[in-house]
Amino acid sequence: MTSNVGMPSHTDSAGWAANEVDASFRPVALLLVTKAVLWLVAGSLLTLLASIKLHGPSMMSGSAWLTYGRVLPAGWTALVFGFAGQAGTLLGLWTLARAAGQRLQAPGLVLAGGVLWNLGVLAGVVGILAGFSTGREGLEMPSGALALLTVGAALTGVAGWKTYSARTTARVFPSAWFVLLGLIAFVWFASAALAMLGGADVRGSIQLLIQRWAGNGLQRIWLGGLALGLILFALPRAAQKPLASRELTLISFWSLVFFTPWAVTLPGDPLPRWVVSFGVAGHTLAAIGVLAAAINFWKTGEGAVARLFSTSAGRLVTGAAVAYVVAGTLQYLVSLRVVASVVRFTWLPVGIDWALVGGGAIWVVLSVLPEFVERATGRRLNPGLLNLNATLSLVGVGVVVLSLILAGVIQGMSLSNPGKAYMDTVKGSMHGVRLSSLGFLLFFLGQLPLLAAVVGGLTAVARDAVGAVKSWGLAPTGKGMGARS
Amino acid sequence: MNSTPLLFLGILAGLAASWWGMVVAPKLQIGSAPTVVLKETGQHYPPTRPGVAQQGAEVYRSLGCNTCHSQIVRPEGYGHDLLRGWGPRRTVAQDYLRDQPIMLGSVRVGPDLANIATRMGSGDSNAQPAMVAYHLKHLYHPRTVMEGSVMPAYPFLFEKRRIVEGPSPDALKLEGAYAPEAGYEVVPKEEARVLVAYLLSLKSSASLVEAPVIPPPTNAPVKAANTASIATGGPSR
Ligand code: HEC
Repeated sequence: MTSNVGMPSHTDSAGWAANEVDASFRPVALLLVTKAVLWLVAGSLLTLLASIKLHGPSMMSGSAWLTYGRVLPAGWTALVFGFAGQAGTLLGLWTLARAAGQRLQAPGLVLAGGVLWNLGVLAGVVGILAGFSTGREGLEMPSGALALLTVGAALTGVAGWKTYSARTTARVFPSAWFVLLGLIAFVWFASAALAMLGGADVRGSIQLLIQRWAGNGLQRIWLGGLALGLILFALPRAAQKPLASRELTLISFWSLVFFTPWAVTLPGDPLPRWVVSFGVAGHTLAAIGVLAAAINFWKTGEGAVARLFSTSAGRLVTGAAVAYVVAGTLQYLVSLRVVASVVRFTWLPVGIDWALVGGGAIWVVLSVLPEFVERATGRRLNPGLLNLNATLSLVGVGVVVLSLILAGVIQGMSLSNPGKAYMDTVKGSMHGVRLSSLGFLLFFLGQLPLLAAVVGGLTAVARDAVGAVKSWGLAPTGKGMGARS
Repeated sequence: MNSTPLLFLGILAGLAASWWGMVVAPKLQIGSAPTVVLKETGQHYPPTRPGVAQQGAEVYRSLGCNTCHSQIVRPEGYGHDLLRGWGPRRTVAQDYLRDQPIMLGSVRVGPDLANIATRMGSGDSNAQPAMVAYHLKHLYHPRTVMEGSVMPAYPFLFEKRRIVEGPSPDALKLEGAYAPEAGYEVVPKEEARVLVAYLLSLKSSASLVEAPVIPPPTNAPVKAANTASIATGGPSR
């Protein structure tokens, strides 16, 4: 069923049963992929709106629902949790199952977890727009919404670990470990935040640490880890070469586990000196993992550049690898006092967030998602639409990242001149910010063809299934839809 | 590391270590820090926020003002927050003791607000009504008081209504393109009032042992370039 999609063949870990593995993801793909892509469309639209609002105070100022301070975190929530995290987890499970040479275990848990997850994102996005933001950066969704996500992630996590444990081969695949890390990390950071931020007696500075620690963990370890795992999976495939180094992969992995979670404070924070020092040390050590990833990517891609650039999936994963390294490097630099004193609190850190989430995570997900859908459902998606999606996503996010970094540097330099009137520093940085609107626009437009491709493909799958049932003259058993397999 | 349980334990150990180091240990150290009694005034610091200001903090949170405004003054050598006049000293953990939630912010599209209450008319109680009026107009439409501002307007925090028995005393004094049509006036809703009360509660200027207030540097040209008084339509920054 899945052999006719014409994708480049490759050797799977166990070398067998790849088709069966793929097919075991059919119900999951049918139920959850469209939802993830809808969040992508919603999130890119909301962040576009936020960006447009910066062009002037009166832009859509009539309603509290559409105010900048709500639209932006709502859009970010949709992109991070609704799309990148959700689709990244599905793809991660798929690469895990392939590495283990096993069908997805307990798909029912993944489906149930996915439903809770989507309800949680919905409650989060609507909650923020309605004014129920927690006011905690990176964790703006109301705690009830985060709780739904956490339960959903836990259910999915059980299925992931079951799938990994069911492997029959003795070999281990470190790139698949990132998925397992992601599954644990989400539950860990989110439930700690839920448990510890709830009480009214938590002092302000401790709340700051908890929310930064959890926010950092979700962004860099959960989402960043999923992204890194997917890049390590997809880059060698696009380059048609094996991954350069297993050792470097291990370094990246354990650095993410042991160092990155500490990277939560920055020089000048209103916290005890030792806490700030530990945090800064965390940033420094985390850079080791980024460096290892950079060398690994480089060696894998070396000599295969033409091949990497010859397909849209290849271009996306190459972009993701570059963005991941750029984000990690800048994150390290901003933890240095000399750099932080200039660019902290400017647009530059926003540019870094976009490099990691929009570039590192979203690009790699967009690179792998089409193949996942095609293999899971046995239906080819429209290549023209996918191509358009890839190009607009690359250019759009690229413009966003570069223009925000530029705006941040200009803003930081002019703020460093205390003689410069404040409004002049604002005006100086606004050119870059306005340019980023163009990037947000392209990025949003680019998701419409993806939506069309996915909806078109999956509708055809459903139609075929109904047709097959009818032509067999059987009552629907649910088998054609793959509801149980 | 071929075994699944070991991998699982390794991950848990790594994540748990950071939790102990970055959350639990600091909490043990400063998590139950008490308010301090200030030498000069004998009052507790930080003071409890008046109820209206606390309601205003909720409006600030709900509208996401912290997506554009920070509340942190960094020490000298970590940027020029002090030279910009954003506060008389750096902010420290003590300043945030009562904040629930803490809204420190991470991006400054607009200026820092840690000391917005003292930046205008610094403690002069006669200046209070003028400051309230300034903030209300600014929230209604920032460009009524700040040329070229990119801060969003918040007209939905106000009510435009027909003047019936003479203009009400709390109507905004709006001019030109921002004025309502003849016979109408713009008055702040409750949300706008409490929000301004919150802004006027934002001050981290008490001299603390760990962050004493040092007399401001005599940086005359800088001051001259940035000072605008309420009378001339803008705060000093
Ligand atoms: C899109 C970003 C943005 C948002 C959101 C935003 N502001 Fe601003 N704010 C600015 C900018 C830019 C300035 C500087 C120009 C000005 O004074 O209007 C500013 C200035 C201010 C000032 C004057 C500070 C000074 O030193 O003069 C106050 C007070 C203020 N904002 C309060 C708020 C409040 C309260 C909210 C939420 C209801 C808010 N802001 C939301 C961008 C923003």
